[in-house]
Amino acid sequence: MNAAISMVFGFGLFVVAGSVVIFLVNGLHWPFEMSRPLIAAMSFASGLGAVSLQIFLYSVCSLPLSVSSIAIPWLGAAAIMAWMLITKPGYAGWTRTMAKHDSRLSVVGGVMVMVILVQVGYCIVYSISQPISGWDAWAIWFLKAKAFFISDGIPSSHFFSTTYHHPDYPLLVPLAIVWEYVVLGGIDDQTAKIIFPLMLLALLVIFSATLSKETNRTTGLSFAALLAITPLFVMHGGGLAGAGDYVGYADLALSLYFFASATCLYRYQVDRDRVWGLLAFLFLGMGAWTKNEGLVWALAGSAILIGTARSWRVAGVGLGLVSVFVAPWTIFKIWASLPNDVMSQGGWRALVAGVDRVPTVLTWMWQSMIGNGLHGLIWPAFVISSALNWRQLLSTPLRSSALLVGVQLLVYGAVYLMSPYDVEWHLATSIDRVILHLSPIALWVAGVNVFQLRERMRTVENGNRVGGAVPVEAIGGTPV
Amino acid sequence: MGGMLVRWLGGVFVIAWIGLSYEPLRIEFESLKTIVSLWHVDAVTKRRQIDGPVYDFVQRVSEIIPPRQNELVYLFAADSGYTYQKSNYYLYPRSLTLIDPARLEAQDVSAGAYLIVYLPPRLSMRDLEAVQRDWETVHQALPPIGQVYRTRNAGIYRVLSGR
Repeated sequence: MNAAISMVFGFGLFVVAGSVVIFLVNGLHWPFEMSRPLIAAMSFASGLGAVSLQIFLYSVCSLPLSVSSIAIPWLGAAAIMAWMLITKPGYAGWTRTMAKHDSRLSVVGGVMVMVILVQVGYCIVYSISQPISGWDAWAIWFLKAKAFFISDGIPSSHFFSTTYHHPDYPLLVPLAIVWEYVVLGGIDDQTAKIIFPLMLLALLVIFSATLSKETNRTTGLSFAALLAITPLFVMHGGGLAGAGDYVGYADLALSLYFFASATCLYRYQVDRDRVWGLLAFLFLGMGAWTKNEGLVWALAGSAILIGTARSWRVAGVGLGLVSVFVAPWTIFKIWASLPNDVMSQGGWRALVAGVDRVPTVLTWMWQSMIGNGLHGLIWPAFVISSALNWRQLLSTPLRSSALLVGVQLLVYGAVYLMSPYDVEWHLATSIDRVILHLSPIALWVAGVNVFQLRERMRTVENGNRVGGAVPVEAIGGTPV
Repeated sequence: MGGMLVRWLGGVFVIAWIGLSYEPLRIEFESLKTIVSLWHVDAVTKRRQIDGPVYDFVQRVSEIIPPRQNELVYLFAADSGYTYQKSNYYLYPRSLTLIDPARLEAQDVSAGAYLIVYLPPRLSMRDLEAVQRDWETVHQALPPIGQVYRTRNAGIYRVLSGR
């Protein structure tokens, strides 16, 4: 019972810290245009990043890792934020709008909500009823968490001298687990696993809310339900006995940040509301603080954001946000000379030398995306719907999401070409996980494509029925 | 007509997706049965089921070697990667170093450090012979060691002299 209360407090702090971060990012304004579930999910995701960074900075400064030292700054900031919100005139109107919005749910939508809740419920129950078992979970992420917790900060130099756990991997996930250990008052890796199904829940909520805004609620919930039954997400969010238990890997967290940054980038390009642009930057930074793959993503995403930002202030503040999450760990890595043992240091020569691996890499990618069924039909849906909707895809901000997915896939391909390991082994142990990073974006784009295609067909049918001419815009064209 | 086609294609797609998810969802249902059957099983038993005999071994090591960061522990194991990673997790904060038989030099080993040896219970004859050869190499290179604990397939030793 005590553990349950501690855990609820632990998650609560993630949400509180994240909401404070979003409030600050939005220039001391509450993002009234977002629904409550979306704010809660985005706050949870932001809170994971903020609290883990706080723990890292405390560790570097040799400050004690205790409940009070970590929680009090956030609770104080939240109290000030709440006071500012309650005294703000628009707050009452916002709560009424939210209540009205929450009441609309179709029967199909209700069924989809049930599917999502059953899947997340399963993941929560299964994950906390089993000890950690996936290789990377205990060999890398939970080991780092244990080391920081036991050392009450930066572990010994011996810890960083062994390369088995990839010492240069960023620390968002391990230090979020450290916060759970601090709250629990000891190492309980089985209970701390609950953070992962909650990441899945946050991903599904952000997915459903943003797709609903772009299409309609039933479509948003239906595609979110498809994501919820996709086997690899269940394996990373909860685990499947005998088939795969990857709870404790950082890939689901990266998937969450990749998706959140892509969807905020899209919204920013559609609405031009600075909060979306800054949130996109924030999640790009948090992705880079989760895994090294996030560094490339942050670079590509920042380039697109800067290229399309209408305000230099948004670009400047945004780059500052990315730096807040990238700089501390990068400086520490350089200072401690932490090696990267996953990529060959050979540069272009290694890339060119690995060209003969291209067929192998493509075969494995194909197997992972389509052949083994672990990603459901996400990738066929993405490719077919994008081909059918190509004109809309290329003429709307949706192209940024598709471009990011394409760039990241190319980068992953290049890493395999340059890998110092046996490429078959490297692919076998990681390809499904790296595709997982991009699958939610691919499904989201497919959802928008399908909706736009359906609307276009409907418009064409209606045009035929009344015998009128079909507007050129309705079929994705540009009027002359 | 076009709208019908899109709807029809969409329906086929969703049915195919659900069909593809049948097996994972069946496993999910089976997993729920596992949860119920293991509800009253304690965490240690569950860990033993996942990690196997190596878990019992590291528990024994944990009881004997104090959990201090300056406690040097050398590991010699048959399936070195797996045992090292598992031991590293469970034995942290002890400073665990995996012995490479080909590179071991007596002057590298510190006096007072521990040496833990672990062989999985089931080894093929070929693997066993290879391990025996490696162990002879290690034993010759090591300074004198004293036995602290020993079973048929595992042991804990103390390095009596060295660097």
